[in-house]
Amino acid sequence: MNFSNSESARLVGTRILRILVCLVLVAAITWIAFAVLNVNALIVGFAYVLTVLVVAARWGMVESFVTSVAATLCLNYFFFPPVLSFTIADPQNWVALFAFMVTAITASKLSASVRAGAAEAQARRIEVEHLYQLSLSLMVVDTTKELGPQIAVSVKKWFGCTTVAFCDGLTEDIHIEGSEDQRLEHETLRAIATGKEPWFISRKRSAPVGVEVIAAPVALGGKVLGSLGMIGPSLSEPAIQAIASLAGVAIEHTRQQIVLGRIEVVRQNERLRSLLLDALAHDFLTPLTSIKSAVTTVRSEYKHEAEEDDFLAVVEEEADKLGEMINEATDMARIEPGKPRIRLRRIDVPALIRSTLERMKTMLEGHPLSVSIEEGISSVNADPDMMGLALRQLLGNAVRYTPAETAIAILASQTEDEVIIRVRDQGPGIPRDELEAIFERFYRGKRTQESVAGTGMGLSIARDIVSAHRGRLWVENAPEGGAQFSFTLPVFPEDRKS
Amino acid sequence: MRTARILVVDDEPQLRRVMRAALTKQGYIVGDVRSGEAALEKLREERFDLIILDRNMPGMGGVEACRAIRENSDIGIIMLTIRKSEEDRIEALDAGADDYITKPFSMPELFARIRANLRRAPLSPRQGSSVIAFGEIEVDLGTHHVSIQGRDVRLTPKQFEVLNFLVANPNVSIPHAKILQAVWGPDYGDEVEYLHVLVNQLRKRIEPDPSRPRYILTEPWFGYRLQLPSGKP
Repeated sequence: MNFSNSESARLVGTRILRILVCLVLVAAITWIAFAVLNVNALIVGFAYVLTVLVVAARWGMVESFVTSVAATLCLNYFFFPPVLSFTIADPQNWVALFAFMVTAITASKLSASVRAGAAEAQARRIEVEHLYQLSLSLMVVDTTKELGPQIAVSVKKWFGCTTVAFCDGLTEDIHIEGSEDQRLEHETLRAIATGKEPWFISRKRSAPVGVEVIAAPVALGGKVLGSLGMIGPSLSEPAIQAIASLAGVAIEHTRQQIVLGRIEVVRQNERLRSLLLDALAHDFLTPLTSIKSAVTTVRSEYKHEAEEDDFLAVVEEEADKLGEMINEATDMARIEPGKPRIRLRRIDVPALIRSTLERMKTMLEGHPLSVSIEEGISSVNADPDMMGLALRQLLGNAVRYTPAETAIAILASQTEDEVIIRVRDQGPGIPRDELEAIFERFYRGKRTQESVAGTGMGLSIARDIVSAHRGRLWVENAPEGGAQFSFTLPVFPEDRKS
Repeated sequence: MRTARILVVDDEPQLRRVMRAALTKQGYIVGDVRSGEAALEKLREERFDLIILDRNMPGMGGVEACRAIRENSDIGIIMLTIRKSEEDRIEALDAGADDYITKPFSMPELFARIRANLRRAPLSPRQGSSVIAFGEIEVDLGTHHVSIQGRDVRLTPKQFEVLNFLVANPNVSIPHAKILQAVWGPDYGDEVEYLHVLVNQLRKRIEPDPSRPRYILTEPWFGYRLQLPSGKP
């Protein structure tokens, strides 16, 4: 506060000093012309005009006006007869005096406006320079730290403000850089930042002269992100807008960086999980291979009793089951989330279903199966490994989430250019609010996540695979009860029914 | 018939132990080493008829070892793989493996594959009389020599057998499964990628322009056909 007062006092002092100098100048010219050289009114008139012009160009309107008046008075007193009196005998001299005064004042006005224009241009140039500096410092903000304080510091630094406040539109937190100042109303800043107040730039002149209190919305693309309050030297409207825009860009940029960072972390996690699963599977598979080859050798190459063979058969079958589980885990781990790589070729639908059921024989045990495939169904354009994996997920789900002994049906039919394969079970179905969620990665059904083991990856992978084939996978609850998963696959081009 | 010699290459000692015992009991002479490098070393010292090669080994992996072996040998190679993806299978076959089996496998299945891969078309006793020539290519069914414009072309036994089978049935389309059963054995039939890889290798050796084959033609979704230039039997 004191600072602002002494600032304006200093300005007034300078002006008084300048006016004194002007008066001294006029007095000096008058003395030289009157007492030393004794020149006539015309010559001294020119000298006065010249002085007025110099003063106007150098200092401005007020000084040049005072100079003009002083010069007019001196001209009248010292040079127009009768000299040393303010009376003028010749009416012609009245005209001359008036003309002199108009000339001096007009010239000083013109000169001052040129000067003001130059000053304005200079101010704009400095503003642009500062905006450039601001944009540079906002470009290198630290995205790991809070952005508001960093914006406030930069604006304060480059625009000579005494106080800068930034209000975040999301958190409504206000950060103040510089001295706390009552003139920046927190309520107003919040109202602008949250978009409650229509967004416009508010500027109020405040003491001392030349200082403004500014509140501006920080927006980008019509979306208000926050607000900026400044107390400092007056700025042009475009400059304020530019500052707000730069702040907006910085905020948006940082938010995007954070989102990208999060995506990258998720991606890295997925990769790590896959690598781990792959390594684990390999480690399990090595001893399992020895077990399997040993037990099959004993079973086939050595004579033993029938009941001994029963035990060996159990070892072999369980080793097979483990191997199947490990292979399934490896297959799943190898699929890149969202975009599995597929190699399309012509696939016979009945063969695909048959080989999948064959592979899942032990798992499907106890569930009556019905398979119905439309007569003369077209081949599909698909990756056999991937489609087998997807179909196994659906069948595996049907087995895991339905009571034992309930039937599972597989139906294949076709339209003009798509084959639709459905897996229908007779379980409890899927709650309405989870029909979409179950396809999310790592999502486990609320009702069953405690009672049924699973990774929450199967359906998400199945959907990724079907999507990569340009097909759709969805689930619905059959009217007669039970869940029905359906997916479409494009018919092999040369097989398309026309 | 003399006893076949088999080299087992795997870094897992337990599996080598099982295989050595089981294969010995089957009547083969078995050697075993724990790495690709050791396998190459062993092959320089001793003669084998078949190699069972693990795909995933520390150091020189199975695929690399297979390529190195193929550089100067047409010995039969069965690859042990753990992965089922098509790319891995094709990579193994491309490196020169004749067959592969996925871990964990049952021994009787491995025995069947070993028998199939040891089986060779017997050398014809009537040498000289069984040379078939088409275009610039000469195939001697007796000595298994193939030459183009008099220049010898080296084929692996499997490559020769596929060519031999096609030459025996010229100008007709032969389904994949039939070729597979004739060359690999009765247990085969679905391993179409074996044929794709092998026919590509064969084309590189005998076709003037392998990308536009003149002799071994593809019958899409069906099989292959050996096209003999017209005018010749």
